[in-house]
Amino acid sequence: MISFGKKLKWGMIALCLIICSCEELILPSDPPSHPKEIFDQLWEDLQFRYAFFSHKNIDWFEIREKYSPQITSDLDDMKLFEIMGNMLFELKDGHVNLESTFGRSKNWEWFAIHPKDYNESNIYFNYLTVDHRLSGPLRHKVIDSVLYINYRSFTSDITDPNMDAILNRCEGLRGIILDIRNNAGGNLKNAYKLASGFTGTQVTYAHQRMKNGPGINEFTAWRPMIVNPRKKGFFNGNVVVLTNGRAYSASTFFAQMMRVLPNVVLMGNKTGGGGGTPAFGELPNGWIYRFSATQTIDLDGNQLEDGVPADIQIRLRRSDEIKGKDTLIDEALLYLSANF
Amino acid sequence: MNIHRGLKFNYAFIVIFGVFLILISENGFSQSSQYIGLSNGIQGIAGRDLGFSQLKYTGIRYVLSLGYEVKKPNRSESLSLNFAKGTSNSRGGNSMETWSLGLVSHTLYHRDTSRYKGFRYGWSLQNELNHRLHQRFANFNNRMDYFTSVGPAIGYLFPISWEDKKLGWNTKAHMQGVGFKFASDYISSVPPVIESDGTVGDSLWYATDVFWIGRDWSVGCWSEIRYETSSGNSLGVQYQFDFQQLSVAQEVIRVRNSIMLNICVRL
Repeated sequence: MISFGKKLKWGMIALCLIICSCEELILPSDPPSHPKEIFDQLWEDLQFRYAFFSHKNIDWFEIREKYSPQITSDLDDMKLFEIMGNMLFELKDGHVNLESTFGRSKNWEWFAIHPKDYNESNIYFNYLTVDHRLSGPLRHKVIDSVLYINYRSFTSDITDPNMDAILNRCEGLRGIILDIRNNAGGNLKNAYKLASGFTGTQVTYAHQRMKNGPGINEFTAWRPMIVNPRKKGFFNGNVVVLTNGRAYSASTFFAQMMRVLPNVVLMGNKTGGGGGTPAFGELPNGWIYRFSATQTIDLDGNQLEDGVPADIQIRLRRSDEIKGKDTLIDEALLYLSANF
Repeated sequence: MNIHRGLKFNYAFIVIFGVFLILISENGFSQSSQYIGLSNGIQGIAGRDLGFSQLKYTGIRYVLSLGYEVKKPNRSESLSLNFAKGTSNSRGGNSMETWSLGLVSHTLYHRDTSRYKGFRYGWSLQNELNHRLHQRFANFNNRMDYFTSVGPAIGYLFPISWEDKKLGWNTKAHMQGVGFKFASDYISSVPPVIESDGTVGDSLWYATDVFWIGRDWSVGCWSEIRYETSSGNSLGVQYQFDFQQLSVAQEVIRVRNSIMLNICVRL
């Protein structure tokens, strides 16, 4: 006769052994990495977490019907990648793409459809010229008592000394031209840092909400997005920000930050959009995908995803471009001269 | 919303009050032996955070544990501060850095006052913070979860004498029952925040949810073989298993197995 204590003891030992050996039962296996499962997961996760179906009036189920029949069990990786990339392209969102070991799909339509309105070589040879200064990623030169600043990418970090350099240089000048045309975005912290140099008070420039559930309209409440003034002073003179349709993502946010400031005018064309902060996911075969998971609206309720309009709309004239001139810079110089 | 928050308040109050009652019921350390211990080893981890991926991430982490134990005639109490850090990888070749910081206590009661042998029953209190940093994601790339919970615990101590050497096999297990938790939101790295302009405290309170067995799980098992010297100090090898599952905005599940060397000094 085995006593209760012994039964309990051996029972406990058995339980420990069972628990320790059944990791697979507790933690179910990974989903299979067949083409259909990979496709389904991408479609389903975007259905739950993508932020702009409603705003863009996209029928995601219809898109599934269009692409799903192309998925067969014998698809090779390249073909599967191409089909799924094409499906993502339907979202017309530069923040949506798919990345594998052999490539990255990306929706470049926003880039291709917008007019160029920017000639880099004209700017380098005829405006910045060889004697311009470089403060971190900011190229700048004084032209007709105006500081022209050219910033190519928000991926390049701006430091406090960089800001000191440009703000010190613009003392006593008529104003600043900040050129972010063709700046495809990057890190939002650089946008905040740059904008902080042009306000002396805390400014709410937009509101943002984030997906917080699988429903198409499940979002957090709108929360204000704020630019704080920098501690070491700011420039309170006139500023013209030059934008075009190829200024995207962090450039769109920066344009909106500057647009709400009383001493700033946006000149050029509407930015390309990119008002959704991208989130990421992983497919069963390890491919990474990116998608917009937030919405941002300006103070009038307009989605930044659609771009930030310019206050003064100007296109780069072909006749000017041929002569080596930049219509937008010239107009900005005239504007600052007239409003000094 | 108000009813939901009211319920959360009630649950949290019960847990906090219960813990308070237990703490104030502590006796002094008369007739007790006190020990401190240090354990160091490796931990195999397999986990899945649906906020990142449907794939599980597995890896090896180093683990460090500081322990304090009090043995009384009819009660043993232990407190363990654990830290583990390492890299986990998915089947797809992507990786994340993870770390955990936990504080767990066990209070086990026993009738046998002359020797610590046999089964002991009691309760445990567990607090644990877990953080994950995905190395391939540029935004929303860190996620966290935290829980505090109480639950029943069981222990078994089996002294072994072998050629005048004192060995002991000590096993403990717990299953957490009730408590509270908070974790990263559906997309955001931070827990859900209060919708109005609240304080940090308000936000934390809003983000807190009830840990409830059946919906959430935390099961742990420690097993150790110790060699005890004549001075009461000991050296040991410890195996630790634990399983956790949190039903939060994006479910988190993990299984961990640790092997550690342990040195324990009698105070």
